[in-house]
Amino acid sequence: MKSKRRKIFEKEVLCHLDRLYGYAMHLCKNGEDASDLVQDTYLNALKSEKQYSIGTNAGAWLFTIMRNTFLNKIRKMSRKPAGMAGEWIEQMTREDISELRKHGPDPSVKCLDNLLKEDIARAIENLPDEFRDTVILCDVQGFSYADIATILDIPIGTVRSRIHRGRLILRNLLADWKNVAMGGS
Amino acid sequence: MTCEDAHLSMHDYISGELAAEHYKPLMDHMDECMNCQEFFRQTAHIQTTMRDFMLYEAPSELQTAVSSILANA
Repeated sequence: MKSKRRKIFEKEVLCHLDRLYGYAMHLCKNGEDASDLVQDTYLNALKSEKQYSIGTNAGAWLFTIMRNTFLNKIRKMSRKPAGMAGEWIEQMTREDISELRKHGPDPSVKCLDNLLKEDIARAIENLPDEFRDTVILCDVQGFSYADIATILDIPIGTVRSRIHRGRLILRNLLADWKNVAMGGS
Repeated sequence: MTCEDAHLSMHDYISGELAAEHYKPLMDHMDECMNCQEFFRQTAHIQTTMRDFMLYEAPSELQTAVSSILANA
């Protein structure tokens, strides 16, 4: 016979299944590994059940467990997460912001109105990991800056900065591709 | 408010994190600055499109497997 606490716990964690699967798809890049990661996440959540206070933030708690589970898997496979941002990203965002200050958005960027799923997917894949994770947790999963800081274990100011820069890089990647596709220079 | 400050506030607004006291200065700035208006529109549009494209529903087999994990623990 399950306790009342246990029943509430199950309800609170189960309602995040679709979001967890979406984040797992982003981390693993394929459905099979994503499903495995989701199941491992729920198994690890059960092991840590006592650390969770009913009625608090199950979403952020589960996403933290998923991220740690994923990173542990990668460590075991002796692979490092790829795509850490280098100086070129810093340089690119500095130049972009400087240009925006001087001239405002490029009028040719009107072509961003007709974005395709493939464009978005490709642009996101081209973001360095730390920007990609932060933008996805904010813009797709809808987490607050504070929750993202908890999930990624980084300061809230870093979350804010990565979201700003990540969105700017994303916008400029999409604008460049769309402009080329439309015959621009 | 400068355009640089407006861009920072816009991102916070799109994230649902803009402090109440920054809302009116941002709207006043955008009323007068077409560049910032357009930048806001593009950024919000990318976010909405990304959210629409990247939301997933867990496959039914996974739903069954997770329910089973929770039921048998």
